[in-house]
Amino acid sequence: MMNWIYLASGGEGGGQAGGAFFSLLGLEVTGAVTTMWGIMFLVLLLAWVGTRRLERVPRSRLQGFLEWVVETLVDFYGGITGRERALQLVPLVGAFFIFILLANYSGLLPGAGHVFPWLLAPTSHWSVTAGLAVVVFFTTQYFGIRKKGLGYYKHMVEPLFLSPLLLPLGILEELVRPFSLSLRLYANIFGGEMVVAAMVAAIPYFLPIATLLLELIFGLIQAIIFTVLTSVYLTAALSEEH
Amino acid sequence: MEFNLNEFIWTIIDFLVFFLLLRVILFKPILKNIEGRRRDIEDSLHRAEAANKEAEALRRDFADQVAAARREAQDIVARAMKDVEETRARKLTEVEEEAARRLEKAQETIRREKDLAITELREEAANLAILAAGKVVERSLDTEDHRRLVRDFIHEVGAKQ
Repeated sequence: MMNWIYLASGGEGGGQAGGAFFSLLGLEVTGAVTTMWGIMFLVLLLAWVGTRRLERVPRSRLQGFLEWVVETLVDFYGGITGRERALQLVPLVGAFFIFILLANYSGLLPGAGHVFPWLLAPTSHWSVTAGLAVVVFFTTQYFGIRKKGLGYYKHMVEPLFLSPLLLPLGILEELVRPFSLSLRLYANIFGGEMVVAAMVAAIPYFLPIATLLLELIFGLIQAIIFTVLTSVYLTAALSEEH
Repeated sequence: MEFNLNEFIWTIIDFLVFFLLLRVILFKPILKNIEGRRRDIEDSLHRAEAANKEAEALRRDFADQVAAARREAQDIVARAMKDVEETRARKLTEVEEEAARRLEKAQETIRREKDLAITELREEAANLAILAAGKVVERSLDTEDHRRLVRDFIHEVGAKQ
């Protein structure tokens, strides 16, 4: 909650607090990057511990929890794309969901942003959400070309006499998708943090609890929207008709 | 809204590493486990269904056998009852015939005894009559002619009676 107070007192938007801590491989490491590393480390550690000794019928609670998470993801995205397709897409879409959800929630941790500048919501940075959207964009192109070859782009030039008009529109449509994905996620998380910060500054008692709960819901909804759209794009790329 | 190219590149690298590791560590083994369990459950259900069908066939077969055994038992009992009835009737007939034979034999014996007794009685009566007549006429009637006369007389008397 400290980052909200910091923001409300005139600090830069959620996660803008603090610049680069150091450089690695010629790239600056910021608070958003360290938070992403923390999320990756925790999730991968949990996954590694939970799946070290897998049993056909889970006896450990951690294995049961991990299976519940994966099954829930398969069931949810299976409802949109069909179970067979969901089994194929869930590793990617599920990784997006877990990553974005925890990235959204990391900004809600006590001390995030101001007290701990290395901990903030990475998704409140457009550069982070743009990076995620670019991965979606290239993955969609990769799946489409792998499935149909260059025929994946056929819809942009058919019918042929309209291709001078359709080709730029088709390219624009493909390019707009990552923009809309990244801006939607960034704007919602950043905007949500700004609103919460303003409300905390105005009424510091009781209201933060309600706003925290709202932020939990918004963070979940945004992770769902991003991944549902991703699964729709990927399914369209993999389907026979496009 | 500033765009940090370093964060952008880090995000792409981080997410790709995260996705590839998570795919290997979490999703592949868990999905394999879930699908394996699903197959196990389906196999178990198929096996249970087959066992159920087999049990049903056995039950039907057993019921058929029981019905056949019951019919056979009923046939045996019926045959036995018929045999008993026939034996009883035969024995009864034999007993009746034996009884009739014995009765006839007894009647024959009685009749013979009666005839003998009557004969003896006539003989005795003739003797007595001769003895009495002898006493009356003071003459012996022990000759064979006298005896015959008396016997004829008694026969006549017996025939009239």
